[in-house]
Amino acid sequence: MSLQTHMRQFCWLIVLSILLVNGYGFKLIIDMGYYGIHSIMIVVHFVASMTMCATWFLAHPNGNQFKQGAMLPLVGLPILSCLVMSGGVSLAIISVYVGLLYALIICLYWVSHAIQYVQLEIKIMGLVIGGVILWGNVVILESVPWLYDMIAPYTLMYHFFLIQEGFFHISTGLYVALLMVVSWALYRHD
Amino acid sequence: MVLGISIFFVRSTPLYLTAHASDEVNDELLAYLDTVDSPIKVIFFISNAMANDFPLIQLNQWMKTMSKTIEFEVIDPFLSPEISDYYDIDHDGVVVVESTMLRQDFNGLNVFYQNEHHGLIRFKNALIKAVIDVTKISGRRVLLVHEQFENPFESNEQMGLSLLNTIFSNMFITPDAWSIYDTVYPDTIRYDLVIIHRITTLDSNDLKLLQDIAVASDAVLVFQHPKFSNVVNQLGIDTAAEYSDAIIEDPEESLIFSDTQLLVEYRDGLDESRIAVVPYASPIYSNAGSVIMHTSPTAFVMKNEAIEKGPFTIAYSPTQSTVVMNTHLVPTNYWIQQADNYVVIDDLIRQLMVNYPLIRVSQTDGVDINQSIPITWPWIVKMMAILMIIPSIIGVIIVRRWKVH
Repeated sequence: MSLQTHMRQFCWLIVLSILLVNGYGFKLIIDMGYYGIHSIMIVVHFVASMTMCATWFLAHPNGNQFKQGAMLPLVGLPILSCLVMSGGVSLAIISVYVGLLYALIICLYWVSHAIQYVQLEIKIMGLVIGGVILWGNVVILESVPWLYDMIAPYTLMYHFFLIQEGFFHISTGLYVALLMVVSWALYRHD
Repeated sequence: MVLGISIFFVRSTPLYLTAHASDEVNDELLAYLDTVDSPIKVIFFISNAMANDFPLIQLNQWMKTMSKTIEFEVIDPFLSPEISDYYDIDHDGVVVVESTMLRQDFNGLNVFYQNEHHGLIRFKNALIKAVIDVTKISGRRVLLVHEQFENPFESNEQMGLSLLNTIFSNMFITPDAWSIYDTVYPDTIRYDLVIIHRITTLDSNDLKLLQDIAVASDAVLVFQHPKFSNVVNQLGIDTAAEYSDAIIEDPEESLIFSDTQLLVEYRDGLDESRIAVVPYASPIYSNAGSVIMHTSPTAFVMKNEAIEKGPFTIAYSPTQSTVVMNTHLVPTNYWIQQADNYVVIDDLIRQLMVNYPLIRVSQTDGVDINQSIPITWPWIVKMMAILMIIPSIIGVIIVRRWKVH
C-alpha cells in the first residue's frame, strides 16, 4: 500500500472518528442540554479512544507508533472543550480524566508491544478479555459488601467512576502507578 | 506488590482531591463532625435494580471524607430479610441513619427522584441533615409563644400545631410552649428559636418579657394575625414596617374555589422552587431585609374602596435571624398539609436553626439548568461547524503534514 493511500485512509479514519464522537456529543446537547451529559460523554470518549488506540497499536507493533496512536483521543477535544466552556463540566475533572486516559494508553502501548509476536486473533481476544476483567464488572460481587470493599479498588470501573464524579483519590493514583509498573515490566521483559 | 498492598490500605482513607467546589461540605460542619466520637451508621436499603441509579461508590467515598466515624453500608432489603426485619424496613429506598442513641429514617428514593436536576445533591443534603439530627442531642431549645389555653403542639384539631411539632420531633427537639395567659413564665429567655404564633394582645409585663426573649434568642419566627399586626411592631423587630390588615385576593394564582387562598412560590435553601398555599394573608410594606414570599402581580387588595394591585410581600426576613409572615394559618394542622407547606415551614425552621449550611448548587458552576437551548438553524449550523466541520478540516491538515510510516 502506498504512503499516499495510507495517508488518505488515515485521514478518513480521523474524519469519521471526529464526526462520530462529536456528533454523538452534539446529539446529547440537543437532547439533554449541557448539564449532566459529561458523564455519558466521558464514557463514550473513553471507549472510543481505547478502541482506536488498541487497534492502532496492534496494527503497528513495530516502530515508533506511539505518538500517532496517542493523538487519536484528541478527536474528542471539540466536544469536551465545548462542555468545559459552557460550564457543563469543570476543567479539573476533564484534566484528571485525560491524565487517566493517557496513562492507560501508555500501558496499552507497552502491553501491545509485549505481545507483538503473538497471533493477531489471540492478541485481540486477549486484550478484550483482559480489558473486561480489568474493568471489573465480572469480578465484583456487590451483594457481598466486605468482598466488594476488598476487590473494587483493584478494578478500573471503581476508579473511573470516582474520577467521572470529580474525586481524585490517592488509591486511584496508586492504582494507575501499579498498572504502569506491570505493563512496563511486560514491555521490558519482551 | 508494594503498590498493590498499599492500594488495599489507603482505599478507606480520606485523602482525595475534588473537582466539585460546590459539592464540598462546609468547613464548620466538618469541624463539628470531628468532635463527634460515637460511630454513625448509615445504611441504605436499596434493591440491586434501583441501586444502578445511585453512584454508590462516590457516596461511600464522600461519606468517609465527611467523618471517619461514619460507616456507610448498602443492603438489598429483599436479599437480606433478616437485616430488614431487624431495622423494620418494609420498602425499597429507605436510608437509616443511627448513632448510639438516636435513629432517623428517610426515603432516599423519594428525595432523589423528587428533584430531576439536583437529585444527588438533595440526597446528600438529606444525609447531612439526618447526621446532624442524630448527633446533636443536647442544647437546642425552641419556644412557642401562643395565646391558647392548651398547648397547640398537642392539639390535633384543624387549628392545632401537632404537625408543626413533628418537624421538631424529626430534629429530636421537644419544644417548650408558653401561653400569654400562663402565670408561670419560661425558665430562660434564651432559645435557639422562638415561634410567635397568633398573638392578638399583650399586657405590659408579657410584652417586656417577649421583647427580652426576642432579643436574647438566636432566631425568631413570627406567624402573625393580619388584624393584629401592632403586636409585632411593639416587639421592635422592624419598627419601620407597616403590616396591612387587608386580605389579599388573586383571581389567577389561587385555589379554584377561593381567591384568598393564594398559590405562592417559595425558594428553599437549595434555591429549588416550592409552591405554598397561603390563605388569608395580608401585605407587608417594608424596605428592610429580604423578601421570602410574595404574591403574583395579579393579586390585589381593597384599600379604602380602591383597588391596590400587587405584587405584595407576605413573608419577609427583616434580619438574618428573623422571619415574619403576615398570616397565622400556614403552620396549622389543616393548612400545613396543603401543597408544599410542610416542606416550606421545615425549610424556614432549618435555615433559622441549623448552623451548618447545606450543600448549595453554586451559581458559579456556570450552567443554568433551566436554560433553554434555542434549536434554530443558525445554532445548529454553528454547532456543527464548531464540533465537526472545523475539527475535521484541522485533523486532515495535520495528518497530511505527518509522514505516516
